[in-house]
Amino acid sequence: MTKITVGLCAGTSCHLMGGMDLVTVVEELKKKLGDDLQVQKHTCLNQCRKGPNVTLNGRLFLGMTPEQLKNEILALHDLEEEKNQ
Amino acid sequence: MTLQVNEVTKIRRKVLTETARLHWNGSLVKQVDQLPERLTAEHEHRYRCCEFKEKAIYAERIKLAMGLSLTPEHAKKRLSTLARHSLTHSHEKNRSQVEVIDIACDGCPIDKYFITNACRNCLGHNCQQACPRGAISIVGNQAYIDQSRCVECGLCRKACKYGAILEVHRPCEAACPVNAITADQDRKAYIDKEKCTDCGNCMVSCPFGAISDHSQLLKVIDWLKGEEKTIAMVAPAVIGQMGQKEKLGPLFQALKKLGFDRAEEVSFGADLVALGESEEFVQRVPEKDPYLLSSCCPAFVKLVKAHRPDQSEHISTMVSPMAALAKVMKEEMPDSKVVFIGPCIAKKREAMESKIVDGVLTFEELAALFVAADINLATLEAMPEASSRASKDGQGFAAAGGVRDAMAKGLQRYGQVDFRGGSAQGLDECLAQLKLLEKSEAPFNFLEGMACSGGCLGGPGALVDTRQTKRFLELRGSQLACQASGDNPEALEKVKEFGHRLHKQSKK
Repeated sequence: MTKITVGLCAGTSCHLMGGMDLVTVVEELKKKLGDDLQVQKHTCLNQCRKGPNVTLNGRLFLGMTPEQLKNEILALHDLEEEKNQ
Repeated sequence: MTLQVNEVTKIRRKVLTETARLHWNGSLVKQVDQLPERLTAEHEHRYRCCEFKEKAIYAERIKLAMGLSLTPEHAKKRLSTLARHSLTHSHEKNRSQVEVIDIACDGCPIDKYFITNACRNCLGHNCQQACPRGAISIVGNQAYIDQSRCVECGLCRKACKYGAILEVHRPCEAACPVNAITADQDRKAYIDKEKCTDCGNCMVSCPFGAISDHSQLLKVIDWLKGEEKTIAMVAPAVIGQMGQKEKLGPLFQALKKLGFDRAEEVSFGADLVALGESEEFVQRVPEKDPYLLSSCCPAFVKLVKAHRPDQSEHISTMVSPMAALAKVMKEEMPDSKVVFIGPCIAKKREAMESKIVDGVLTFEELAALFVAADINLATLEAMPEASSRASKDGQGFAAAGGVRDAMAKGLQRYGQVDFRGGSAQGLDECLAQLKLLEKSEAPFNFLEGMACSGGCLGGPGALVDTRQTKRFLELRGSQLACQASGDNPEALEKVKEFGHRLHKQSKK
């Protein structure tokens, strides 16, 4: 079982900088990856000036764009799949 | 159109936030001169030719965020001087809400058809034969369009077998349904304020972020920090905008934290309008008037007045939901400052003209203000939401078709009424339907006109895409205790109490 945990910041600052677009991307990926993708919510990651911010398996990513997030998650997923084989 | 936060939007929001932050902390005049430099340094990407141009554009954006027009007179002054001026003077009333930032405007090509290198200089020369004006000649192994002869018919493009002829649009011009924005001599965009409806389409569509509106953040911050009593009136379209799904509790709490003495839903004003406008309909249609036009969207009202003046007598005399609620508020809390918060830019003009609403912020500007004041809605404890004064119908004004549906329901009280409601979203569609009405070919006798696609939910000041907010709007609507405007006892009472005061005085 491969597990990726993505943590989206729901703080107002990240929301203003496009946090909802990241939610949309994650919702779409969730349809494809199912339980392999766990979604968390952060209230603030204390890097408001650089938002929208995201954590991926605990690692902090600043100023995320929807395309970037999609690529990062898929890359992580491929990596985990390879390991399992 | 899908709403996605691109770089242009981020820059605008950053400027709003940082300008508001300076004023919130009381250091605007002292530090605003350094702000363009700071913003340029913080932003890693460079878009313009050099750092200096980038800073100059930031300075222009800051002026708009401070509510100033970009006049030649303002161009020469320092930001700190302008900030001091902006804080102590009221702004000129007669102006367009949207302005072009000249130095940010890329002066996109005016020529509509353009022959690319894909031209093979074939034997057929179909383009040349297709051109009705003989504007195409062969120069240096390639077809060439003499732009002085070109009438932009597009036949050459259709004729070319290689697809070598490109059709170029200026995004701002293409976005404006009333041709209010054109290129001036130096190819920069120019807005004709008589024609402009302040819908905000051009602002959203410019890929260079060269068009923006004036913000009223500074004066609202002054009221919040000062002695004034302040009331926040949030538009029905607020549901789902602040990232709190269908809940309004955290938003109301945040508004209180910001310093507003009261926060109210304009949906209640919409209930009053639904009731008043249905009464007006019964009185006017069909005996005195063949049809009625809705009056709640200020961009639609301006569209009719400026572009279809003969039909303006058919506009309902009801004030907008914003103005209706403001009237109630000013009576409940005299001497208070009333601030409308919505997705709309045209409301800024309406408020200025109505003289009853003191300030207008967009959802975008409000969120920027929250960030500036370090208020994070996600960390606010969920408090039980006070029961809403509004009905589902009133709240429904936020989405296209909502006014029509509320009218249809409101008219049930009058027994048999010949009501055929139509709705148009987007100014293009509004114009088309108005033409049908004029020719008596329309299948309806009431037209709800909304300048934005999707209704107010799709406004230029919105933060979240219509597809999501529509879901939340419906969810919250189903949770409301009162479903129809006609079942809202408080609304019925207020309509009776305010009577003709909810109608605009005819200027005769």
